[in-house]
Amino acid sequence: MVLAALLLATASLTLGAPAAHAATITLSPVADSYVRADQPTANFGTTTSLRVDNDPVSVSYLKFDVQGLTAAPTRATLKVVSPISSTTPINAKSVADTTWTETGVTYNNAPPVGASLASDTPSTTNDVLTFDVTSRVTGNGLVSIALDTTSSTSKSPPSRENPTVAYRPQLVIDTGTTATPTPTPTPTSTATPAGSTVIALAGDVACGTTEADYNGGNGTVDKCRAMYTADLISSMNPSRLFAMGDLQYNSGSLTDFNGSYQNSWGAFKTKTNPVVGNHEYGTSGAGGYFSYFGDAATPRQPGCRKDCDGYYSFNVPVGSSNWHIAVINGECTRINGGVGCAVGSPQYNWLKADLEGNAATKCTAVLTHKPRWSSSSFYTAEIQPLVDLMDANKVDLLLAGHAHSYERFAPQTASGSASSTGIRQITVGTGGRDSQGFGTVLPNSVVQKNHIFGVMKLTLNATGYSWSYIADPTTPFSDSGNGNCV
Amino acid sequence: MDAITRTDQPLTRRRRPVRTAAYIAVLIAAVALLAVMISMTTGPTPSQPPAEAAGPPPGNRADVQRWFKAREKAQIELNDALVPIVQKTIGNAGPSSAPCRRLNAAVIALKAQDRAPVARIDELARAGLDKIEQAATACLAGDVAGAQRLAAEGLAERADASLPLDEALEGE
Repeated sequence: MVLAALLLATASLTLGAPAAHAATITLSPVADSYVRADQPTANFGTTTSLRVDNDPVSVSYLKFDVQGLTAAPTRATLKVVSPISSTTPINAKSVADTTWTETGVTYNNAPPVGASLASDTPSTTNDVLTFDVTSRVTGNGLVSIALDTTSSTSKSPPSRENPTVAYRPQLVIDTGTTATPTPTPTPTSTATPAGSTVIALAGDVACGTTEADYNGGNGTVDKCRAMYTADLISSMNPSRLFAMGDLQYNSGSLTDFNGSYQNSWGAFKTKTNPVVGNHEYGTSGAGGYFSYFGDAATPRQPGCRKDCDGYYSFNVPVGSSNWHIAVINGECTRINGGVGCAVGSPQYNWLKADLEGNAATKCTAVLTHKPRWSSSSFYTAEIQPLVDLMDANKVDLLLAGHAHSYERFAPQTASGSASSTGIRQITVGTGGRDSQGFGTVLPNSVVQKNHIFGVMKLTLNATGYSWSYIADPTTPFSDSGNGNCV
Repeated sequence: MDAITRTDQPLTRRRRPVRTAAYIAVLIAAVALLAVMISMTTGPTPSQPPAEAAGPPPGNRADVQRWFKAREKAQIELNDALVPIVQKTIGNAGPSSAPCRRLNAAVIALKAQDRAPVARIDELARAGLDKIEQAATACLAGDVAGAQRLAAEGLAERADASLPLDEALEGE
């Protein structure tokens, strides 16, 4: 318990996203980039370093999303590492405009730089520069800060994409008092249409803290990138997060959940609807998973913390109506005596009653870790009886993870035949762990993409839905569309 | 330069390779015939998995994908057939018991599927089937308690093999 408490305390102090209950809040930028006069139309948002220089003029921009404050902070300090020493200071300056984007800002469209806030001079290599930017942080919301210099020797401070997590920029806010957690969602940077609800979803997320590629949470270029997908979720500011299973590798231990997962996707724990995955069962009875999420993972069995059913349902308010969401446990051998997805099993009977009992709800989605269909062997046919129920009850979306890739199917019947009134399955197993490939592409598979990291933005409305894949900038990819509920 | 020297050899020496080639041809034919005879008596049976080659993780291999696809119906049927045993709603067991006969047919059908292209995958995917087959046999013999115990043991073996199977597909 003491160890767990220490881990939690550490997590709250190093979290990339807001940690409202801590007296000190440490934030990572939600965007950073630089612009340079000799390349006026170029964007450098995805590079692993920033740049300040006076010849050619190069200015860095950083943006933070401050949340969790109940009063003006006593101090706000911007920390940036300079790889080289200098006798000329680097200046932190105010930027009033917070609408610039990481992948869009260029020298030609960069927002104006305002008054100087503070300066610091790098006296050694990898010196941590500290800038008092308290005057720019007066409450919750977006904060933009620029860095420049009068030195003609360029300096390249590591950016938020830098693989060395300890070198990334930080905004450290001293709240002075213990703040109260903010129960309401933070302001969104993306407008949500009236009468609709934004959901973020992906599976296959956090590496174990002892894995070689974990790298202090920062991962590598192609593995353990949960911190980056967490940033995407933060920017999306969804109403709910559907966490699609295999949330904590390699075995779903509670220690790893409290370390790796908590430090990344844990920022959204209170708005998360979790799905149990096969790797969660690397800990007996998925005890780490059920203990970490508590009743949120097993609302039908309050207090259960091991060997719980793991299937449940809930409604998502959308305007004046609801979407009905059923979460199934696709680890069929782990529940109900080992036949948890078979016809007549408790889960089967529950899902049948649940879907039939919500027949009046126009729009329905089912969440599963293992997909029913995949253009690889990363799927399970054992949930077929449950898919038959979904088809019979006009489920609109079947959302999955497990396959470490992105795959979207056209609507199809339970037997896999194309049908405009069928179930649309979308697999989003790109939450951070790593990437897997494909075998033979299935007939109704419309989009297949691997070697990407990212999350899906699912926007629900009263009669339909739209989807948009939000990729980590280092693995560009897009897929979007919409559908109507049947 | 060496090649030019060889082509300049006397004509009488050119005839000897022709005779040697004939001997070699006879020898090759004899070896081939022997190989065919050996393969007819000791060749691999269709159910033996082929040698495994390095390449993508099994989960990305088309042949493994086809293998899983081919056994889907048998796997689903076995799961459904197990429900009355697991839930202890089988009623009377015995040779004419419909649930016992269904379970027996289902487990035999699944066991009869071709071997997986990867031995490790095959081994893990078949975990528990022997016990479940014994459960079906007990069921047909009228031993309900034995059938339930053996089915539970088989399903436990299958559950234990579940994550290792997933990891084997991932290439771990």
